[in-house]
Amino acid sequence: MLTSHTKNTDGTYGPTANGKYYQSNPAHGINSINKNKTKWCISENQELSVFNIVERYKEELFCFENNCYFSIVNDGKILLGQTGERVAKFPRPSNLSDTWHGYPIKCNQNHNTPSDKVLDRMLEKKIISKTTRNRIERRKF
Amino acid sequence: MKPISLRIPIAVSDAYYYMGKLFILTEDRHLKMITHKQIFQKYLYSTDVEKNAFLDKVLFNNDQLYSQYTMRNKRDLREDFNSLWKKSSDKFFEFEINTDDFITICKLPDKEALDFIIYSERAFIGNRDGLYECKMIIEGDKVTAINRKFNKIFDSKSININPRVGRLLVSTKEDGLFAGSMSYSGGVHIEEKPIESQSVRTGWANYDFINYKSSTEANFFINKTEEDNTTEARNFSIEDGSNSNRKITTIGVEQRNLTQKIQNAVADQHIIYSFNSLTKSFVVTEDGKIYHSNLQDDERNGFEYKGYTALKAVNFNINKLGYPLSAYTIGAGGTLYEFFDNVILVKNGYSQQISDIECKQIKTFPSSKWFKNIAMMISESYLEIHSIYPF
Repeated sequence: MLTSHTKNTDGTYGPTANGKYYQSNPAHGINSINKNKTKWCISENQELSVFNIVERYKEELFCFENNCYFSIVNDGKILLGQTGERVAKFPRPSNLSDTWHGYPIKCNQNHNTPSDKVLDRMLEKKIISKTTRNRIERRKF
Repeated sequence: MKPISLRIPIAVSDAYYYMGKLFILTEDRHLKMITHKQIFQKYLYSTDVEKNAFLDKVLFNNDQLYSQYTMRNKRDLREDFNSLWKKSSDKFFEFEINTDDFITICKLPDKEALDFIIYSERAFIGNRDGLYECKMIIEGDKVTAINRKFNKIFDSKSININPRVGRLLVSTKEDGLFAGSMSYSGGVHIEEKPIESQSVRTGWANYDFINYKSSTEANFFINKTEEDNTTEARNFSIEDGSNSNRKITTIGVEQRNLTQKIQNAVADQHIIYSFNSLTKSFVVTEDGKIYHSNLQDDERNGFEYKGYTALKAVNFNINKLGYPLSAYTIGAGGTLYEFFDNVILVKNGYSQQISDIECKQIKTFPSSKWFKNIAMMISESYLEIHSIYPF
């Protein structure tokens, strides 16, 4: 579910339930002109809600293989990126005290695809359906 | 014309039509089957003899349909056929199949199937653990699994299986594209070394094939063939317009990068999906247009892409539909496009939505004799079988 959040005075959003702060990266923003980056098609103040969907499960949904969280909204029904992306990636910052950021991705490479274990846990927690798990594994998203 | 459609409420992980039978992979991990005769007699049969004969042809025996020539020249037959088609395509035939009507063939591998196909009396399943084969004996309505189980024949996570002419292409994402060969009475051998380092699917182009590394990146592989009239070659022969049998002797003797060629052919447009039939290449662009081009056979250069033409009357609303997730060709002509929660048929220059389910799997059978006009769609709750208007 997408919800809007209020920006803090330092430009961050949060904290999340687990104490993390989120900062939108303008290169991936709706109005970015950077041709080498994927761009969100949701508002900047909604990005945190995409992160919250998986971050609240802490390590259970963390993809250790790719050192990041992957998230998806309403089983993929909500488009997140301007070029058809339905999955978002939130890489772990180098320093744990740093803010997190994320961007929409196509699951077209292993490093941009949740591991099988994470997909199974997302299914268990009803974040994705069997169909969506199958579509991600077959590189359709 | 709308398709004639069956909708069967059933939870299966995948399904396939082969030799007059519907094979399903059940949620309780079994390969089961039911003959089309049983489906027809128990769930579709009516007292209308003419309608029965018609439905039998359009749903299960596409080889018995009128030819294009007959439809063009015999007005009475054409009008009768079209009238029956219109009446039958008004609404879905929806019925449940009693689970007891399915015959269990054998147990499935532990992990859920990512792809399932039957070829040369063998069922193949690709899943997270690799590729599995189950050899079967099919005699009339009876199907027996020779070893009563699926045997693992390859170790990499297999997401797409594509057999033709006694060869098998297996896509394993970053583990690569692997080729296999099979003998009719013997086993299947998958080469240890990948042909290419990445593959999500493949599409045969007669005796050659295209490997897709993503939704748009593709390489064309030319295979070496030779005439072979042995019984073994005849078992795997394909209809290629000649009277001889050919077999592939070497896979991928030449490789050509197609990504840039396709992009150049539709300059100024961003390509979001490409795929091919045996003789044509298709491209979907970000503005929702479909372009197609013949794969022309050139003695010296093998298949090559020629100029692309846009289908003028078709324009997908990509903002509403999202990007295509997959696409397929139909024997009757026409192409199918899977979007997030619907499937669109493009035929004779026009498009129509034919299903509104979120598909777990879609199967078409363009090279099949009996099921060439059929598209099968599988969701978590339904199995849909659509017969596409053949003319």
